[in-house]
Amino acid sequence: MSRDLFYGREFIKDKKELILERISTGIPKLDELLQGGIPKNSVTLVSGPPGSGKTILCYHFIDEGIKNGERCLYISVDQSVKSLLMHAYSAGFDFLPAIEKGLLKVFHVDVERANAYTEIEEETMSGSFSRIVVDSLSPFADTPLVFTSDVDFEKAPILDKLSSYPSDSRPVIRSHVRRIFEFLHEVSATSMLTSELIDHSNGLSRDTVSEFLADGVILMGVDPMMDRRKLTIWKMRGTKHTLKPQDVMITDGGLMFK
Amino acid sequence: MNGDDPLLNVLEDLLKLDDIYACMIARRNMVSVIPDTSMFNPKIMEVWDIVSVAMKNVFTVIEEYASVGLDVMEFSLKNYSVLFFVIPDTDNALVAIIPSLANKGLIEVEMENARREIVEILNKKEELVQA
Repeated sequence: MSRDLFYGREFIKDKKELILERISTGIPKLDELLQGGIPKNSVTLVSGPPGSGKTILCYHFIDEGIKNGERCLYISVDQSVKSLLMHAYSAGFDFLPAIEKGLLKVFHVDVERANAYTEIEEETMSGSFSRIVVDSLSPFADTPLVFTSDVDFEKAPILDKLSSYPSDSRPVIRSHVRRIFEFLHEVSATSMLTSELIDHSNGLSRDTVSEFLADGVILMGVDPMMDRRKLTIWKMRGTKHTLKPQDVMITDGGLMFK
Repeated sequence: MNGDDPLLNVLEDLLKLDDIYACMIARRNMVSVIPDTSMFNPKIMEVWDIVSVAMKNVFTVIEEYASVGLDVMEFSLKNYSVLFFVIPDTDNALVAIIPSLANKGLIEVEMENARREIVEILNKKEELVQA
């Protein structure tokens, strides 16, 4: 009979539960660098400038889930569903069959709409998805907070106060980003979020907050003059990994390590 | 030697010189091309952290003045000098860490030759893309 072990507020039935389960990113070399993949149920931020391969990395992640018969959700903020599917197809990923089989749901969210958060929350909670991608987080950082009548009363005084701040002020951004991370941490899915990185930014994301909230950060880089792309595993909780930037290429079959 | 990467070959050739302890092609936020760091002289480890930070600052200056013809920059730190040979029409530079007491005349000639080779490789690539 196994004795319950008490750690903090949670009971752990077996020490095996302490061992991180990992899931494949869909890129064998990246899995190898991550001791087998990203931790299950974690939230990973994929950050980088435009054209560095963030979205393609997410395609690999979703494609791997589909291959395993997992239910996947792709929340597109920047692109319409049609545009995303076209882009994915040209990058070597045909997601249509998976959508038809019900393995993949692609969902476009308009951040301008007041209920954008509710839509994301409902989608993430509704479908028992194993893998979720939010591409990208950046527009949320540029959007003012909008409150509806069903605002949580406990949070109302703080949010009301925040609403007087301009949208690019740190407290407002933190509130936006934290809310999305809360959804993703609540569901038992492994998630990937992308964030645009402005050239020469000092942070690891557009909002400079999500890198602290994420369990992992994968930083993509591009040097157009030297025709180079780099992938750096900046942080991955519970994982021993190299910090050395890796050379990657975008090919017809997606992202490849050199 | 890395046969399929001519830029890396140029850097690996530079590293064969005794007084070039480390070299790379870099820009402000990114080391674009770098040889296997196990080929670097281990002596640079004592200054690597501070050199990395200092490099970022130097690249701020390079970005500002590359377009008006900034050609070479150098700074000395402890017993080392860091040379930046700006690649024309880019924000990138060929960077080398050398001992302060090295024969800089010889090294500068080798760095200049390497820079020209790099420019030639980039031009060839551009011709291929245009074709």
